[in-house]
Amino acid sequence: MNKKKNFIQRMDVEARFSLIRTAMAIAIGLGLAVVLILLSAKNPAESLRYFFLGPLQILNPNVKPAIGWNYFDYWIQQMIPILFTGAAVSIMFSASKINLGLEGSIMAGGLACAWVCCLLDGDMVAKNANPALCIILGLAVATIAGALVTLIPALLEKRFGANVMVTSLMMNYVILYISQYCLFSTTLRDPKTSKYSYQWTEKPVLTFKKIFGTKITFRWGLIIAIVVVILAWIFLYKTKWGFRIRQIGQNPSFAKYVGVSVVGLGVLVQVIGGAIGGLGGATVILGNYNYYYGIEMTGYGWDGVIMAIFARNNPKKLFLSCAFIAYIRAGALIMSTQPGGPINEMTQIVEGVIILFLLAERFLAKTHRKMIVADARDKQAAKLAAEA
Amino acid sequence: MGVWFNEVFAAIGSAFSNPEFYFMIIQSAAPILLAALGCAVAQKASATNMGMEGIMTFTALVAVLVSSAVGATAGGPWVGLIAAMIVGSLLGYLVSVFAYRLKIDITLVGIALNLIATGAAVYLMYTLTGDRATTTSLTSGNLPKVFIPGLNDIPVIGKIFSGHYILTYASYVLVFVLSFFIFKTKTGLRIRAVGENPNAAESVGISSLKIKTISLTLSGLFGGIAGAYMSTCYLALFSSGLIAGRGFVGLAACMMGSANPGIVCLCCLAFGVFYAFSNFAQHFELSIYALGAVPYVVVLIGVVLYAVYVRKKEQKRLKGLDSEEKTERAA
Amino acid sequence: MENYLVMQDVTKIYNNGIIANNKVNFSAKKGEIHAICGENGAGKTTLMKMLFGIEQPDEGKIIINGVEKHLNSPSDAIKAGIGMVHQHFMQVPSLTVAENVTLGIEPTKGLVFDKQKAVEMTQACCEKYGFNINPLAEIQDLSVGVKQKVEIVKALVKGCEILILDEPTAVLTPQETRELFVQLKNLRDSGCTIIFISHKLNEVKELCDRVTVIKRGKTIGVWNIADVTEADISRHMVGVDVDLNIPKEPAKPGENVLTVKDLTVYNEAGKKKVDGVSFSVRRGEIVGIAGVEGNGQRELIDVITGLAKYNYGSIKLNGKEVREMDIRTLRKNGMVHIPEDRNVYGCALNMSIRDNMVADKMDDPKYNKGVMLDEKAIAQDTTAWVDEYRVLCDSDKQLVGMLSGGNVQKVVVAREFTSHSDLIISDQPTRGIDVGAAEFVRSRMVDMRDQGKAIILISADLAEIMSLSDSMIVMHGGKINGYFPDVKHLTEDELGFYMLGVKHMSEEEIREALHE
Repeated sequence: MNKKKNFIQRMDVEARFSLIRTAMAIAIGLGLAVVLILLSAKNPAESLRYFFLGPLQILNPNVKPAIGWNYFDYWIQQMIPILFTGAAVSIMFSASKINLGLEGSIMAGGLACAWVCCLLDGDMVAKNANPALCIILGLAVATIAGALVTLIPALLEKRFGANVMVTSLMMNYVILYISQYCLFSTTLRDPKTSKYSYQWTEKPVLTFKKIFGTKITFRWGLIIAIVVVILAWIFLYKTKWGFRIRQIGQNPSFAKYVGVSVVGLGVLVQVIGGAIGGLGGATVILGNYNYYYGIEMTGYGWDGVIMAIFARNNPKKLFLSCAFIAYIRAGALIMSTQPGGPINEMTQIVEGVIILFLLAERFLAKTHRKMIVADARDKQAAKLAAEA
Repeated sequence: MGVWFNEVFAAIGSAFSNPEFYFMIIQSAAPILLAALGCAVAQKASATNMGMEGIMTFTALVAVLVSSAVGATAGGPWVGLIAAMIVGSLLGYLVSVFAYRLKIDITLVGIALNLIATGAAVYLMYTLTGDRATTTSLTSGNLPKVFIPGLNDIPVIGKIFSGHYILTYASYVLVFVLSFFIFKTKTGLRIRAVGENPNAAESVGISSLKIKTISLTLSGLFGGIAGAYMSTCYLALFSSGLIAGRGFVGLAACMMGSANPGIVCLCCLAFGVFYAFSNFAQHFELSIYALGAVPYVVVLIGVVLYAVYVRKKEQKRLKGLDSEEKTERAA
Repeated sequence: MENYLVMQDVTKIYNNGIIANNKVNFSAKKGEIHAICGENGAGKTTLMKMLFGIEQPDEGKIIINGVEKHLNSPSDAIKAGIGMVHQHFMQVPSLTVAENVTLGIEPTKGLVFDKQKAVEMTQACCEKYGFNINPLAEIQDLSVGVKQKVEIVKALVKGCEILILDEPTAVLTPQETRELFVQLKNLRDSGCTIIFISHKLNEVKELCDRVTVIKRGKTIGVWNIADVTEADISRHMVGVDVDLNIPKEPAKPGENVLTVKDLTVYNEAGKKKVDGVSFSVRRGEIVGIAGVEGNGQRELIDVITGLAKYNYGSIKLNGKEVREMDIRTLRKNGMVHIPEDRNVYGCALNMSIRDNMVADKMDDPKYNKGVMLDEKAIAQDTTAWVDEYRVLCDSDKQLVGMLSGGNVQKVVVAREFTSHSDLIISDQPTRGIDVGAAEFVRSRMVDMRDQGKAIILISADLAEIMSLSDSMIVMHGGKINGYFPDVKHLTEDELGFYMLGVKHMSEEEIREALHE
């Protein structure tokens, strides 16, 4: 028994199986991606290279650094919103609350933030407020707006027992049309354009290009997102409230029995989730635009569900999960912009397939069983050896 | 604000006195109705089909592709419809496999399916036609419109009820067919039994797995028809935003109507009223965007009212039992 | 007469290692009503589940009418002519009686469910056996008594020769019970074999022809009902054969911690489950609550622990009314509770031992540093408790779901006993756990008593309740049927009589349970 064990051998059997299953699911997904690219690309080798290495083209001496950094920035850009929504859904799903209103929270956050910025600064009212004030106030109002969107279905469930999944889905569309209304029929729209709001600054305020004289695009959004995810993790795993929330998700009867307010915390998680969504929506707007443009669903709300599944509702694991998904999305985006490249929506198929295999209880059930049996035998043998 | 209200009232007045408006109600409720019926047959077996949106998206594309391959004038739309129905059933069956054989929460299966189906639809469209947004390069054609002889000539009635696409009529006929299936046939009875008390069904030898598989496959079939409706009746092409949440609205209508086809149909028609109005009001230079939210608000309120109704009914039932018990005790 | 049904040396071992039936023998003749009696957990229900194909025996044979049968599912059992009326009705509330009755054997005309035929089938069956039910009524509108009849008709319509009734009278009023008995006797006379499971010995005596007694998964014996008295049956059922021999000093009771006065509880369906109960629990004593399951103990515990609400009477914990406190406040006021079903209420299987142990102590300033949890303080205590309560595990970070039942229970006990408490409610504290763990839990309870806690003990294990309790309350039909201030002089036979309602005390004697 002097053999040195590597870190995989040292993990307990459940963790090891979980790792194997995740690896298998990702392998199947990426294999599928390769097949899809081979089937539709005019120049498969080129497309595959962009898909797998696109965001890292900066390391390729043949690619101009400017383009390379641009590609790298795609990756970061893809990562920001899903970090927010992943954290939001992780918190809601931890208490088993299937509130799907995050899509609405994001739009409401973006809209509220844009409105604040337009009122304080820019052409709409011809005022020039301090940009820092603009940002802080905008983000704060967006957070509140986002929270309201998920609060409404939560309260309807608490008060009337209405199915929160359905009402939150409908909320998304209500917010979509309100957002369109604001953009098209109120003073928010810049009359010089057809579907954009007034501009509030010269350029997106949360982004700095060419920081320190390099080609790196610096995004405050990423910093905010990382802080939010860390706070979400601390909240869920390091405080008594988070503990109680997870308890509700694991066994609501047990939570009630030790005196947890199951209904109240159920509403609270949805408010927090919506608030994070609103903040994320505002961050995306301030990070990419200096005007508001929101006439269709962003899809980030659903992304949140995907990311929460990937991270098994643990915000700590969101970093790796989001980096991975953002990477394949950025790769696909870069690939699709090349002539003859496959369309980037193919990543949706890949993501969907991966989460199905991640979730399927029966997937690899035989391997699981074998591992448990082998583990039990090993332990038995070790015990006998120790006794002898 | 006052002016705005006046405009709204004017629009309402003119809408309700115009036969075209009623025509539009029937037309715009049809695809939602098909989706809602699909959700209803699954919901009766207590399987919530969140994947309806995805099924509709994918089958809408299938209908267009098959139709244009066969030829728009050579009966292509019909073959497209049949293909959409087959593919829809298959997708519904897959939902049941993942949810009940591989034991994944059915809501999450639905979300994954929506993701995969919309992605796959766009991927296929782009790979096969080279278009990113719509299939305008294909001529896929429409299913025929039906002008009902006799009815067509009656002044107002004819304008409202005649001249719809054949699938529009079919969708309303399907309300009766599905009602009949759920409430009159043996399989329908078993679906309801499994949905309400799977233990009771299992105790008399009915396999709830089999029943749920059947009802989800049927649900997919309806989704296929709904998808085909969108791409061969509503429009004659597929675009990535074609379904625009109609699958979700169908699910909401199904919940509101407690999965009873008749009530579900009424919910969809109510939705159609607001949908048609928001379309119709464009003539009046009213802000259609504010009105666009109205149908969804209506659905939302409807879901709440339904929940209140269910709660009241349950309370009444318990109270009834209570009083029964008390009289027995007195006797 | 030949035996129509024979179950020979039937053994069933569940996955968790519990031997529910150990070479049980049972046989019934055609045209008799045969009672099966036994305590909770004696193995009656398991035996019947095997007969109805829900569970499969690991050993032994089931022979019906001379032919050995392998019953792998309820459909097999139905085909073999067996019908079962479950304790919880297997009915679909929104369907009509006729639809429920014919479910699984639906008459059809083509593809269509033939409603007319179904009604006729139901009606014919009702008439044949003398039931009066409207086939077109919906189940949800029916009273419990009628539902019960529907359940029987459901079995009969499938042509069953053997009818199993699992505690059919538990939910019925006396009038309904009387009516049911008339019908069962009719059925017997028409040649049906009826297996009747019940705790109510007076009913067994009144209705049945023979009785088989099962104890701890084994057959004790078969008697003609005419040859035995209720007291005999009771003695065969309960006989305690293990002396647990728990070392403990006589109790020195202090002041009242819990006072229950004229408590009446109705369940959700409006049925009276606890009926004018009064008692108190004092510091430094263990009060046992004995009784056959379903006689109001469940509802009594639910309202004391705040899991359910009560309308009539009062419960005071340290002088404060329980009704006005939520569970968190109740716990702050010194109530702790070892729940009956540890997997539902007692723990979260997917959380670690550590998390489960501190789940109720989250508000304790000791475990909080500002807004954050003080993980060091928690780890320090939980690792100590793992040792102290001898939880067998790799570390306290292991998931509770990976532990054996006995160790899960130790985690629950550790959590509850390490919280501040005046009153400990201990509901089936040793159910389904191994001997070593059970012994440990019991000795901890005595320790807690000696520290001056007031303890309520509910247990189906009579040996346990008799050797642990200082005083005992027996519940029957929602009422207190007997109060024994000193358990030492109580014999198991005597206890059995009270539990089964054969004997009961006077109002004055019972009132003594309330120490004022």
